[in-house]
Amino acid sequence: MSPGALCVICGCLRPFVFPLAAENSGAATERGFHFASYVEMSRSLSNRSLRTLLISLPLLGLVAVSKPVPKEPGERTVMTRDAFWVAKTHSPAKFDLVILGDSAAYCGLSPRALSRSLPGYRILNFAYSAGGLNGAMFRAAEAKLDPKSTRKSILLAVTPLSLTARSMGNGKFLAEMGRPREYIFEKLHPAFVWDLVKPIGQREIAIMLGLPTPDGDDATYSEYHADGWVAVSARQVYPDASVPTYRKLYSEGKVLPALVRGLMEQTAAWTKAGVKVFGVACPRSPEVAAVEAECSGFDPVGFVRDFRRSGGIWLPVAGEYESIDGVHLCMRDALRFSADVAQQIAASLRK
Amino acid sequence: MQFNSLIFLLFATVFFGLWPFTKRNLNLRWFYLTFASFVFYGWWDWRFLFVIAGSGLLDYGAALGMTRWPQHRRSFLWVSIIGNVGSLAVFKYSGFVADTLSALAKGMGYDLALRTDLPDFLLILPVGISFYTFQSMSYTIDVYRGELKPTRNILHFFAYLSMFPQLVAGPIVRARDLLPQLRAPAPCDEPRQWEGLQLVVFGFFKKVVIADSLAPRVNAAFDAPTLSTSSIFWWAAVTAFAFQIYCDFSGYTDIARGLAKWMGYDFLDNFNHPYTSTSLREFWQRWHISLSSWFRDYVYIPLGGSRTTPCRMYVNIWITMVVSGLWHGAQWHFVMWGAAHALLYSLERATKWPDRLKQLPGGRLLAAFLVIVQVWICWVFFRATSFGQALYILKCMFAFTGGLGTGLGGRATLALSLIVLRELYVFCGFRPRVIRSAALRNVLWPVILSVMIVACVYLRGQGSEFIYFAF
Repeated sequence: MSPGALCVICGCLRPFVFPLAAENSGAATERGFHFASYVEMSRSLSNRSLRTLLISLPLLGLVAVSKPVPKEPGERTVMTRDAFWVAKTHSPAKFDLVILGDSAAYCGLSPRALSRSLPGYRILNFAYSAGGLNGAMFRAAEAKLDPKSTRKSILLAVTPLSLTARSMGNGKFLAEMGRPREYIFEKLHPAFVWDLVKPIGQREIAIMLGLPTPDGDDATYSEYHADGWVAVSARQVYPDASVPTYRKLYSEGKVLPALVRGLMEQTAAWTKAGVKVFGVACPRSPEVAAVEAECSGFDPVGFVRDFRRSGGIWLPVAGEYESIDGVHLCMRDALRFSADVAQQIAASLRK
Repeated sequence: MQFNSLIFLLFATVFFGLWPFTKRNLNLRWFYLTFASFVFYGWWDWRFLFVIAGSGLLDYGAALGMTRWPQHRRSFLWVSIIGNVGSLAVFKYSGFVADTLSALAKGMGYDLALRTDLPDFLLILPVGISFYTFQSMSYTIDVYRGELKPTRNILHFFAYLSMFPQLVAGPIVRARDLLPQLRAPAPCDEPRQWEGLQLVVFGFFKKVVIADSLAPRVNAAFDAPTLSTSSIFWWAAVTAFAFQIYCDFSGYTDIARGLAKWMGYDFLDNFNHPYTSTSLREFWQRWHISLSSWFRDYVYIPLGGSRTTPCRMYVNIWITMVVSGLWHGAQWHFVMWGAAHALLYSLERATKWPDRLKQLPGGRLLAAFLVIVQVWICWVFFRATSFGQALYILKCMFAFTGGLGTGLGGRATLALSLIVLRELYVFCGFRPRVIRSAALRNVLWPVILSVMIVACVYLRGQGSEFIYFAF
């Protein structure tokens, strides 16, 4: 751009960008806001504030478009964590298929990967941290289904933890529901702005570039997607990392039969109302699975039997998937797991 | 509405876009400023507006009453003080008093749960109440002392009291400084715009890049104090907190000053590199200057100050410091923070150790180091969630055991290094080299500021409230 052209742009912008300057420039005060003379335009460039603006705006744009993106496979609809939770909870969008569960579900099931085998399906991963499979969540999930859809479906990503007293609190979901209006507005509506100005973290850059992470091998990286999926990756995976936590959690409370009964009743009610209900067990590392078998009080065989009796469609996905801590699937394996689940759903729909 | 929020960006754009149109009519300008400030403040909770309006009306009326009926000046002053301190007591300290009485009753074998009997509205602290009540009170006290003529224009008064840049977290601007400026704002010429922009960008940089990068590490340490018993870990955590609170609060002040500059007003600086002080006395002359000088002028000196018997002087120091601690928060650890400062400052006054030490070679550096150690110890009381936690952390700090434990992390270390280097630079008395070429200077600084803007956007930490909003 030639200096002359820059002067013209600056001169035109100046009264709008810096009305205070216009206020105090004699000519502008007398004649109001107007296209300044060439002399004034040249003077605009001597305004250091305007000069800073002119340097910083392209610089911001440059960083926005050139900031590194993860080298991992997967989606590119990355958003900030806050915007992610607000969008998941408060977005008015309606769906054909809603996934319910806890953090294992929102890390393990990518709606976009599912929709590859289920073309045309609008899918939302509506799982929450420590999320329960209980009445409050069932009602919330129902509200996310498009009432006009002819293929309304619910996918229950079952973990024993989501059927304990701890998960009945629905802490994360209720916290998100209770957000103030302006917070929701700020995070939801200009979400594209937040995406553009998403801060670049030190660990993020390191993982993206394949460098050793500053926090060592324990570093994990989470990528938040608009469809409710959180893609996690780590430099080093620890299949038994969740064992002590799970042991402690189950010592505080085992699976509640009342919650299992409630799930079965809801499945029957949904099936009766024409909503297809699918169920799948979230993959576990053998170490965590052993703790669950020992301490959770969950009867997987009985659960599947009752689920089928209630009208639900159980998806026997039996692949081996890698997780970062024994519970939360790594990004690549989450995509693979999602594809496997989708194929089974598609197969059951064909029957 | 927080400075570091999108809604404030929109608010500021609209506000400054319309501000020049109010130039010709002072009443319109004051009305616009008051209206915008009420929108800014009411954004948290519109009900809080009644508190600030009530406090303002009381002091506006009291000041006018003093001039109308001079023989009752003292009565009007008491009405103002009781009204302001009363609103603070009701909204800020009722929960604290209830808890303390309940604890005392429990100690005597009675089971009282007074807090649950308090109405809900008493348990919500109106944002910035401590700042604007002090500001409002200083107005009536200055009028009472004859240092200020009261304004008859209610818009003029409320434009002063509610001016949004400093409304919720200071600096506490005195009426005698701001009321005249409101009558004749300085023209917002290029140097003023530039100065304002520098302050705003520096303020945001301190808050979102430095303070917000340190915050997660500090929170992690203080939320789970049993995480580490290592002395190095706790010294690092307390150092991180010391700089977090400094950057958080001075960042807010810088933004407030920058916004005021764009309006044509000047606020006094609130921080002057406090961690480069070589005595606690100097520290208090550099830290939260507007509050320290408020307590000096309206509490310490009226109590007799230092022009009294030594014993009485120490009592005055203790009263001022403890009240200052209580001003920060209605909890015992804040009182302990004030008391710890009072103790250390009394020792300093009694022994005059900084003056003696500074006469030795390297004494200035050693004095600064000792001041930092003392201030850090006091910060433990300030940041800890309870008195017991503070003692535990101090025990860890002075046990001089253990390895590094969990480090601060790269990002926090980088942020900390940046601010420590800057303070060291100031302490060593370096002066920035003057770039002789004006052309180069006028290009270089915009480039530096632009890079800082980019850093504020892309290297910002997790957004959090300004710490002093809680006071």
